[in-house]
Amino acid sequence: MSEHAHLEAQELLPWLANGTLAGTELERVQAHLKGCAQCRADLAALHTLRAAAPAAPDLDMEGALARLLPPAELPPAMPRPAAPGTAAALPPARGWRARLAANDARWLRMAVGLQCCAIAVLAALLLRAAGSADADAGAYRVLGAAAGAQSQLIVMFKPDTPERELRRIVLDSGARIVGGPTATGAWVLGTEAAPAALAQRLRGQAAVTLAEPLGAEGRP
Amino acid sequence: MDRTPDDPAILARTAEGEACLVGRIAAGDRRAFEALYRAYFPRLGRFLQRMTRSTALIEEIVNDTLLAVWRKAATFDGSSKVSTWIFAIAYRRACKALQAVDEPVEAGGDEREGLDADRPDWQFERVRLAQAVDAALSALPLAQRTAFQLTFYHDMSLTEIADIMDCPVNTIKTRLFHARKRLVLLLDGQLEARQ
Repeated sequence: MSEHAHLEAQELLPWLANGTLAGTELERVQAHLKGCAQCRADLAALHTLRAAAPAAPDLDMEGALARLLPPAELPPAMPRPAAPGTAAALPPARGWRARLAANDARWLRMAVGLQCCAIAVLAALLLRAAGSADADAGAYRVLGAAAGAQSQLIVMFKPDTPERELRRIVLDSGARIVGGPTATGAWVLGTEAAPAALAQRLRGQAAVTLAEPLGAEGRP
Repeated sequence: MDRTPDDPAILARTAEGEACLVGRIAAGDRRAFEALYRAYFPRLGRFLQRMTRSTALIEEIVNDTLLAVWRKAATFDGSSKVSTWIFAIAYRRACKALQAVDEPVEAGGDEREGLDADRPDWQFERVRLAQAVDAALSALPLAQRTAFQLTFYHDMSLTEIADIMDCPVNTIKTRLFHARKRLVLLLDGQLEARQ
């Protein structure tokens, strides 16, 4: 038994065990095994090892696939070669959305019904909102509602300004608080006066750190 | 459901069929992608299980790998098997992900011990050996462990493993040689006792 053949067999035993060894290597190793008890014993041990594969992990394939899909949201495959021959032979590749939207009459009826309900609810809300705004013209005005002659200003006060002082400044200015404080501590004031002049006056107050008129769209 | 030879689920069962699926994926066929996904999810899951205990991380790496397959399908040139190509992507992604996480791989045998009380003896023996192998494998360096499981649990050839791990064939031989020596020591006679 040559030392070299033994070493080679020892190195290749794992692939003899898994059945992927081929050609002259396979022949040499098999020939060596006939005369080598140790390699035969090692091969048997490898078979045992191979049979003792640990249990597969407990994974959620469908959940993972759902995270990767819906297919419609997969980013496109890199270069998509235009292959008219193969493309024509392909089955129509449809995602679940396409299937849902395309030919299912029940689904369509349900969608239209839901849409009608949603429109009715929105219309009712709109009418109610318009009615109450008419009834009480001085009521709270939404920041984005740029209608009316009222201008708005954004004002920030020093963090330690007492509420009493804040109230005094706002009352003196003749404006009203219509919004705030925002996350950054800013207040929105509404006024019928010229906003630029009012902002100028407010800046004169020691407690005011910022006073800017808001534009027509409610942006500074 | 149709079960023609063109069916992606059927194609996913052979190496030639898989190559055909990759071609379709390159053309944007999502059904082909789903079939390949379902074929490889369990295989990659088992492969990655030896690298991290976190099932969430395993699923993430598998998804990451198969998304790369979707994106790069057109670059697959057929010079290797589809399985070699996909496992190579998975191995690279796993190495990268594990570097970022730096999570120690633990044996994890203890928490399962209580489940074995009522098993019959022969089954108990098998489970115990599987657990012992599991624990011993966890003690190996990542490169040895990877070469070992690609050989024994995924039945890959020497050249395929060299391709996946991007190193010479001789390096794989050496890695597995050392892995076996370590395992024999760690398993301490448990393999011989069963013959």
